[in-house]
Amino acid sequence: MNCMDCHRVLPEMMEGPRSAELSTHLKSCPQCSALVADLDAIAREAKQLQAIAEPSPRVWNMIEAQLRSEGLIHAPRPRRSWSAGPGMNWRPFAWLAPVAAALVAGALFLMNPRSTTNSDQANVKVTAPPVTTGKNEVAKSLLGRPPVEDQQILDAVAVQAPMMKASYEDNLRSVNAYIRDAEQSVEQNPYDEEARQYLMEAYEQKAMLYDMALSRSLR
Amino acid sequence: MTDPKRTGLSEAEAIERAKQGDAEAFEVLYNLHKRRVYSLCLRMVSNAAEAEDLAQEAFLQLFRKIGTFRGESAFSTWLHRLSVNVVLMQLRKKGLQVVPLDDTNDTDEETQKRDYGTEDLNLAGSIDRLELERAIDRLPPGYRMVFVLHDVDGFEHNEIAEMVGCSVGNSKSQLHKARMKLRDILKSNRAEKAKRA
Repeated sequence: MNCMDCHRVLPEMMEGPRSAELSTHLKSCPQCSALVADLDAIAREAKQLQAIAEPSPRVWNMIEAQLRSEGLIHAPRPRRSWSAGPGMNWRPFAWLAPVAAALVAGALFLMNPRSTTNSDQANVKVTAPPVTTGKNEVAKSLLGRPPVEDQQILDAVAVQAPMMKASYEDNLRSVNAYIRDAEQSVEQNPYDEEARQYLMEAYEQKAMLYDMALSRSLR
Repeated sequence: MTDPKRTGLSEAEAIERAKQGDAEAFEVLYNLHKRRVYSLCLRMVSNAAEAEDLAQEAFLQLFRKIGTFRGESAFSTWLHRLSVNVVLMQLRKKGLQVVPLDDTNDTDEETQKRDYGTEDLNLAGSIDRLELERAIDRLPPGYRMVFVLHDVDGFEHNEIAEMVGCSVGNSKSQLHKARMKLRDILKSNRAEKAKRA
């Protein structure tokens, strides 16, 4: 088998068992062996890409409204008033509203107005420190919050809609992993606007989650 | 899948209740699957607002048809197929060719020629997530669809072939080309970075 033959059979053999002929060629050909190693690495890393992006709450609101208008949802949603009776008191969780606002404010703070190319960096006056230089205080305070406030969000959901608690727990776990990944990217590339955008989106995701939980608590 | 002991409602129970029009059951199903559906849409159209519209449409179609779901396949697979259809229709409306029907196992001579040279930048063990996401964004829609369905979402070639309307051989060929293209993109990005450093 030569390299041309190897390239011809690769599409068929990448996933399944590799023929003895192919294996022999790969052992003796550094270029083809490097190619296969790279393709395997890409396939392996792709499996790690989590589905962490979350649609905004408006998507569910639109779906629900449409389903109701089509008569597919039969049971009307109970309207919960602010002065709900025992077991449905939202007041202990009202402090979560500023937390959600702080998460969004922190995300907006990180979207500093600088939009320079790498070649302009030396000449541009920095208007805000990169996120990782001394760890930006807003990001720090947001990071310091998750375990306690996440638990309190879950407690709020558990009171109002027990069926949803596990779902929110999974969502919080995923969005926290998303934030950690995004921070790592910014740490490695502090002047990379896309990495900062990525981090901002991660914070926005979490703020949306808090917002959804609050909307549920305050209905 | 939602743990029935923790919530009292499994996916199967939520499906049955949704068939009866239970609002909470619809929301449970939506929350169980929204990230996966939305992520697929977002990876294919690279626009958040458009991805949300597509995800909304996919769920609406699902919930309208939920009465016909008999459990022959996994619910998530059924939903994913619907989502792929919604995305494909959108891409076709834009005039974008998703999977060429007559492309079977063509060899990419240009790529082969490049690979005969010395390669100094090995990717194995050093691809980060953001780097790969950006590279996927740059794939043509046909390659991107098959790559996302197979390598990211874990579908088999026979399932992909059924979803996108091509042969199994075509699906394998597209996947291989997608990975080769990603390799080119990742290597050229690294070469650029190395030059700048």
